[in-house]
Amino acid sequence: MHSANKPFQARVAANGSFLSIKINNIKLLDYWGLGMDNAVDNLFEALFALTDLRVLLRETAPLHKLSAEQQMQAREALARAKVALSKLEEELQE
Amino acid sequence: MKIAGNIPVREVEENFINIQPIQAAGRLTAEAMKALIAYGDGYSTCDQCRKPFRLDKITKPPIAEFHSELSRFLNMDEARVTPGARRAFQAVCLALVEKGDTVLVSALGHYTEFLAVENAKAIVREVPTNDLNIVTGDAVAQKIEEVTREQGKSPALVMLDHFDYSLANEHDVAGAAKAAHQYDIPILYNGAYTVGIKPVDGKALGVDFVVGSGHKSMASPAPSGVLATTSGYADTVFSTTQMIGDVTGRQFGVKEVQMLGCTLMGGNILAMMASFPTVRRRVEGWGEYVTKSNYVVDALLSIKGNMCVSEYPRKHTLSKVDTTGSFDTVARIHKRRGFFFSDELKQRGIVGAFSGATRAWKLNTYGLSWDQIRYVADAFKEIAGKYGLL
Repeated sequence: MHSANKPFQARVAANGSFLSIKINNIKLLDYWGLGMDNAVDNLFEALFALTDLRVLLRETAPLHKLSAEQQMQAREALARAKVALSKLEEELQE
Repeated sequence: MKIAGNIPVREVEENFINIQPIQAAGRLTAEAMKALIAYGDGYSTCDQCRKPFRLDKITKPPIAEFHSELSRFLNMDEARVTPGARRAFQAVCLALVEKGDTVLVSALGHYTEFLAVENAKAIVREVPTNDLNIVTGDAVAQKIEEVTREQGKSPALVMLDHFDYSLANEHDVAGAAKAAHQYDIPILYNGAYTVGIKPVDGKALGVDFVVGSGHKSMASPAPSGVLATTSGYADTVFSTTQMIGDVTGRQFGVKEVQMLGCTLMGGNILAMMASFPTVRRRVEGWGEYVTKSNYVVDALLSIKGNMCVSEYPRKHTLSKVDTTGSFDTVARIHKRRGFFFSDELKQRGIVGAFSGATRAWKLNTYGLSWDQIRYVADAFKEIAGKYGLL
């Protein structure tokens, strides 16, 4: 897929933190052109990952029996949320 | 779970298959939900609003570009976002219609078309449907002639729903446009039930205005909508203010009168923009959604006594069915009366059918997967079997 067509895009710094986040090519987090707070980036990343999971629940209502592909998507979304929350926890304790 | 105070979390879409007739195609995409999270603050679009200080000129985030894409999407020349389709009807009526003028609407036209005409102090006249509940181009021509004969002047505007809210029958917009233009009358295409779910080509239809509803058919929050027009009408409907304050001498030159300046200034437009790539793709899959709609309607028709009130086979995902001869016979003797049917559906994880209705009622299957479609169809048959209706 061409990068411009990806619904979710993130630029990641060498230390693993997000420099910018785009949804459907709309730049959400760094359009001020300033470096973003990692805690804020991770907060949004966690919320967005959980939003993907929310949509998956909608697509599989009412039984929520997930296909193999949907199970993989769910695992991926949960992993993204966990990583982001873990980083957020670290950020806020520094 | 509560959000705050007594405001509950809405879990309808997560826990149930929702076949509510007006909610189906307004369900948000994941991207729209994310945009709401990030842009929910009041004037969030205005962070980098620069001269000439108008919503459709903002480049960061790319709202100006979105407006261009919207007009291309509908094959029209200019587009603006509006707070719902109704505000677009209102804008066109206020721009084109004089006090006492007549505006033609369909006999199956939406009530907000009536209100928009009344708001412009004009009068509605209805174009009747034929025996099949369809508005034809000929019927529009006949009504124009009738009004012109009676009043000595032709109607100022024709408004026609492509698919109406009541039966979701397809009406002859291209024929109506041809008829209206023969009498030099502009025509507005009400695409509340098409723009965002099926391809719409305004120029091919020959219409002067295309109106869509973001919250009804473009996977966007309410209120949101679109008004697109031709270059010939853009200056009229998007006219800018000429007013000058008599004390201060203030002028607001670039602000558009019928839009009342900026329209969607926060999360709504960003959510609409975030859904747009999906919306643009999904209209190409309209045929499959119609096939799914027919699958469910066919399941209902397999139950003895049921009828499809809408045109059949279905050309839309919204349908009106009559179950007086089946589920209503149960309702007449059931202790829960008509609520037995919605109870049975809810027990199976399906909501959105009007509670208590077992005679004529509407459903919309837009957006459901094949698994969900089969599940809904089987549920209807299962309920019928339980009560000996098969």
